Amino acid sequence: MHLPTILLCVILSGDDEREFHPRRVLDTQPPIVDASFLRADQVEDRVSDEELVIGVVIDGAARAYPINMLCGPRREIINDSLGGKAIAATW
Amino acid sequence: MVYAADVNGRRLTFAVSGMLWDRSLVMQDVETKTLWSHILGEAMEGELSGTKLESLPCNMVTWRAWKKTYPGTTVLDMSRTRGEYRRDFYRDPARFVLGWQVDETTCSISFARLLIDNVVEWDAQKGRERLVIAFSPGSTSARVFSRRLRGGRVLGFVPAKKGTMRDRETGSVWSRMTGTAIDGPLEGTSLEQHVGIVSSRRAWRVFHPQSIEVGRSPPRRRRI
Repeated sequence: MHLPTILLCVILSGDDEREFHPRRVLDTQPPIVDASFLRADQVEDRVSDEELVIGVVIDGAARAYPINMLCGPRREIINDSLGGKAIAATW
Repeated sequence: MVYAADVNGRRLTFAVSGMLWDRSLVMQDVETKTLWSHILGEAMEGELSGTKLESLPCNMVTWRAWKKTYPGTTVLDMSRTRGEYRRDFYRDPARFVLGWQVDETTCSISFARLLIDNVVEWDAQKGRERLVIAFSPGSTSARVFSRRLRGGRVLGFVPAKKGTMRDRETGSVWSRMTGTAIDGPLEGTSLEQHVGIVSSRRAWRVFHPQSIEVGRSPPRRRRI
């Protein structure tokens, strides 16, 4: 294609309609549904004060997901329940 | 990001699909095999195509700040990886944004901007939404709150010391992390929290091309 044609295509396609073109990089992973949880005072030697967590509070119940534990292609989604609500915590 | 797993009255179980879309995670639910964009929270292909997930407010903060604020918190118990996610995750803060959506408007603010202006007010051009973006460099807490109280009164906020902000109307002192007034006439009052999404600037641009950047770009690179 000539350059003006390419430019015209870009203009006509706009930028709010993106086509869904996923690319497979690994097998579909089994869902994580049975994660276990501890109290804050039980992880003092495992989770350091300066590391980042994803924290969520639902109906007064607070839960933290250390990002260190979520990073990795097989563990980016935790199916969970908090404060009576079914959730998916993701990284 | 945290999503509600009940979608139109149906409980879904999400898994890593093994696919990426523009380097971004694609999720798949076990029940219908629908493919979901993680960053958009939207079903892209399959039975539930077009459905949006309910996104829940969450906060990316240091463990120290989280357990101090919520001493009764529970914490995920999984094996550790080699991933290093500490405050220096933001060592180049201009590469990260906090994004939010109100009706049809999508906005973001750079963490480099938030480092300079810890408390930023934002008003929707259409509609009644009046928000404040509150950042605490120490904990990296970045949250979006409504400035409109339940009774309808709208407050204005300025930064105050040690992770707090002060409203102009009553002088009450509020936690930037929880959005709750901790001192002054409004003590005990909580601001309604909106969903704020921490994203790389690149991903936000790719998936939200119409997004409006709030605040001018900061003049130089600064570290958190």
